Amino acid sequence: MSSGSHLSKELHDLIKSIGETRSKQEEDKIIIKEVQQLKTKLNEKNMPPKKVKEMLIRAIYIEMLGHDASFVHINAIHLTQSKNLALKRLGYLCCSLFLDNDSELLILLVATLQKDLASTNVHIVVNALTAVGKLISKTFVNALTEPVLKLLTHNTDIVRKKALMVMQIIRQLNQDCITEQDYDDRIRRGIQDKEPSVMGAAFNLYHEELKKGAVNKYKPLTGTFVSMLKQIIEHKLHKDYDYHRFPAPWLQIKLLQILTLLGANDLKVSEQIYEVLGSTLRRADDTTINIGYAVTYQCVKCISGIYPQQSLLEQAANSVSRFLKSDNNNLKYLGINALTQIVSISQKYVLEHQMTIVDCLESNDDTLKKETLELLFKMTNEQNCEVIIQKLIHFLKTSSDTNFKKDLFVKISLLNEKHAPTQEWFIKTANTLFEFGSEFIDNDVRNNFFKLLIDNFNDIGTEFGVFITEIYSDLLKNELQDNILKIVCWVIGEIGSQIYDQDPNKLNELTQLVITKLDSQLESETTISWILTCLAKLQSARAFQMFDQTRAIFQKYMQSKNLDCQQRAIDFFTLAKFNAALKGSKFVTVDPKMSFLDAYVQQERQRGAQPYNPSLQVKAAALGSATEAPSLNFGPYSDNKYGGAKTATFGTEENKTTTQNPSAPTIAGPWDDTGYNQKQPAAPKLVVATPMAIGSTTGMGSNGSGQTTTTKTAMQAMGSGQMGVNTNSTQNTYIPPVRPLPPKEDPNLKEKQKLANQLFAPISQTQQQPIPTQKKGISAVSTQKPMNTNPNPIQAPQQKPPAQVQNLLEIDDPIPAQQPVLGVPQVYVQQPQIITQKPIVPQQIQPQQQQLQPQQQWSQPPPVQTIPQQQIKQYIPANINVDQYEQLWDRYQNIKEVTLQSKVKSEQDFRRMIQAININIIEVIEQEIICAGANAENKSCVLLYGCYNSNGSLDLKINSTDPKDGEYILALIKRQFC
Amino acid sequence: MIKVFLIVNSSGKIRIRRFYDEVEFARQQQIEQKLVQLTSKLSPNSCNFFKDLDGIYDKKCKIVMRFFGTLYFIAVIDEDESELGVLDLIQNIVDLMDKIFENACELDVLYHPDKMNALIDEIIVAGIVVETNIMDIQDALKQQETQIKNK
Repeated sequence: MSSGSHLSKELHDLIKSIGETRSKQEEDKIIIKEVQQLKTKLNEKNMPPKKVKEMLIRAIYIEMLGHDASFVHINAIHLTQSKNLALKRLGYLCCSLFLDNDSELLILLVATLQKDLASTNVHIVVNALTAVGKLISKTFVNALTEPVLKLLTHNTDIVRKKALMVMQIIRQLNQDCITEQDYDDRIRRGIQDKEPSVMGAAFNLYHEELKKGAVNKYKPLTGTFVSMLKQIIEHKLHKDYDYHRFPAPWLQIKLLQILTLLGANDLKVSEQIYEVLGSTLRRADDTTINIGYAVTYQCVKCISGIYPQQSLLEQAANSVSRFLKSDNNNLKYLGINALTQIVSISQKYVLEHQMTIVDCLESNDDTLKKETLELLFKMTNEQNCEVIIQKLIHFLKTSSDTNFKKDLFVKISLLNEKHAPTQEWFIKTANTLFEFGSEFIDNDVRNNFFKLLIDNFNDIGTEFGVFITEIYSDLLKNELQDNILKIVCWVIGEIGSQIYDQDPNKLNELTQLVITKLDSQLESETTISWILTCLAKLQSARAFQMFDQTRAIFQKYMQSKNLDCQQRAIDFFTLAKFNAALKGSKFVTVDPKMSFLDAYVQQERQRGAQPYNPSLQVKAAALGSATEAPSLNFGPYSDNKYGGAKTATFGTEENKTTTQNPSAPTIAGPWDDTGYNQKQPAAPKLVVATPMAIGSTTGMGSNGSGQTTTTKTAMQAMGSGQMGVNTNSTQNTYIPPVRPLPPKEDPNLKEKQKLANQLFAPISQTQQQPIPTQKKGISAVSTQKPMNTNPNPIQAPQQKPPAQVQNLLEIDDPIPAQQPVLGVPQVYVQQPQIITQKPIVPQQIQPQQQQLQPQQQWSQPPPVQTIPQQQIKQYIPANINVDQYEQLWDRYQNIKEVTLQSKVKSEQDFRRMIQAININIIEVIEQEIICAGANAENKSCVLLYGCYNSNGSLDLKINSTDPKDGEYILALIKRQFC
Repeated sequence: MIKVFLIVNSSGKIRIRRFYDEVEFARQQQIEQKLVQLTSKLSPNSCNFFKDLDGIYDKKCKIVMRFFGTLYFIAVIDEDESELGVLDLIQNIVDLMDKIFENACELDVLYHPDKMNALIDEIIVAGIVVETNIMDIQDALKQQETQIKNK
């Protein structure tokens, strides 16, 4: 064949010249020349096909060397249309090699492929199928599906098996092309094929499906696979499938892979597999050929992959030990790998190979070493850790492979942390590790180590501290690498200084030791910084009573050219000046609650300062500056506006209590301006001159008599003041939520009551006061909210009554429509009807009220009756947490337990109820809610536990300091929510 | 599954390159280059397997490498594939080459890329080993060759 030799000649020259090149540049030159030549030649007309073939082979060569030969792509496509099989094959090969499956040229191929797939020539079909397998893409998948599926029943096995593989690719590309059912049927027919090679191809398809997660779907086929494997190992297949007399090893491997996936975590399926697995392993073990080992290895993988079985595991471990003892590194590697698999199931079978495994580390084979290290790392436990770490450290000492050493270093330190039997051992190992792997000590390693030491020191204490200080000060006597010296310095500075802070001699001794290191040969100046810090820490232990020597050193380093050292030296003197604690942050316990200020706060409060109330500020912020005034009032108000120094003091007191109340009514109305503030200086003036005051009175009338209301106001104010204290105190440490107010307030209360009596008695008699103003007042009530934005403290107490009124109204109404309007309706004034016996307030107030605000119509019942003031109960929320709640619950013994049929059917209902009582919810766990509040009057605490049910049954447990509170709240709930 | 099958000569020139997943040409060359570098780690007694810890192809993959005469046979396989199985597969391919080219050497691979690739295509389809029976493959290839000659 002359053309053949011709082809060889030119190609030969190309290969030879490329082979002789010394550099990439030379090679490139030749290739560029070659490409030019090819381009012109390929453009010539009437090129004999054989010439084209030869050129394409050269193009393959060019592309293989990494150069672009895209100019031949079109020729390759042309070649596929040739009738000559050799040319067609080359054409398809070039297409497969050159074209991506998103190439635009592919569209030119589709028709040819369709034709060739339908060809009667088996070899054309096979080549076309191979090309389809490589080149098929989403764009053409539809056009090619039909012809490929037809080939599944082709009478040649080569075609059938390739068609199966292509079918899998088609299904991957587009699931719609083949229905799941159809696909399953077709693979099942594949494994039933009379030709084992087709069957083998079908196994691959099952394996892929299983890998994708379709395990359950194919579990019923386990029996089929098991019997196939059985037939194979029993030599039931044709001898052609033997490989070195071993029956179809690749099929065995594939089947084992399938069975592993099927049997994973499934005892039932695994039970079907155990027997055949055992015999497969036995038979594979009998051989001494590589492929036999491959099957053995696959068996071991299968055994460790499926539901574990004792005897099989033992069998596997035995087989693996053969691998490990082999001289062949491949087998050792697989043995280690297999053990890694087994160790995750049971350490037992691995431990006996411990020393063999450790020896594998000595191998000069990288892969093997890495794998072994991995295994050792996995199999180390408390028992074998000493041996293994010792061995590993030995390798660390002897190995010259930096990467391996680094790996070792990391692994050893991890193992040491995890499994070290004793503290001493841990420290010693760490030191050895640092000694031999000092180049691997970086900040992370150090910090991690320090953290461990400090944690241990904190846990164990002095004993451990003495121990490590001893060890490390001993180390100082030797030559040390900088990295270790840093660690030593840290330990002595941090722990030594704490241990010996009462022992100046010892400190001096340590200092001397450290100082000697300053004169030693150091690798870097940063080490000096570490030493200086250490010295500083040692000095600080004795409150900077400096040894002269140290002082001299620091003075010297103040002149240092190294900025870090200089800075440290300067810092040292500054710190020494203030005797600051240099010993580390551990001694500074940050108290976020700043409880150390409690005494001061208390003192200030008693002087009349306002307590801090975060919630109010938040509210104020949330509500915006509806009231332009400053949001906080500090100190007494100048009462110029209202006149009378007395008012001023009074106001101060009031302000103090109210602003801090989280539950304080958020209404600021003109009517409270007058309230009872003005009354003091001149009550009559109030009534006449300030209609707002009257408005307020009438407003309060809804609660009962003006008198009562005032009293309530006062109490409310106190209550809120009380709450202020509470919120304040609970922030710090636990204080029972309810604490008696300073007695100081009592006179105020009385005063207020007195005032109120003076003031409101007349008003209630003269109810008919200017209505418009009243309206104005009330509308203001409902709009102006944040009371702490009110510039005038005096207003504060007066703000409350309206809120109470409104709340009262709300309570009367089963669905408190007003609450959302109010925003913060926590203040509750108790329903008078329950407790009061004597109606006091004249009915006349009512019409007026109705005029004022339609909402208040609901409040008709309350005004009808009034309560003697001492009977009025108001509750205020108590800000306690769950723990405090539990403590209190245990403390109080007045538990009331009832189950009611109520209107409370949801959490919302429950919340509404709690809101109505004006106590607060502490925690909600599903349908159980716990709440706490305090009686504003006598500061007794009320704890409530409730469990609602959608059918309306309500379990309540109320616990309180005063049993009356329990009864009262219960009565309230019964009345309003049942 | 087999991801990559390469035949490289001892001076690092690629002789056969088959990628079974879609990989960009530039990345193919990077991968080849790194695999070629890896061949230096292969010594007669060392292990033929490498874990692709550096992520040459994919960190989950394994690399099986075998040296015959002047050629390295390199296969990048995924975690499911059996290393020893692939090692014997390479043996299988070499045996086949020997039968087809009679004392196969590097030049045969160079001069007959079509035959070489056809041989590989008989064994590996879409990255999966579909045929390991030497006789069957040989038959199929022989039939093709005779048909080509007859035409």
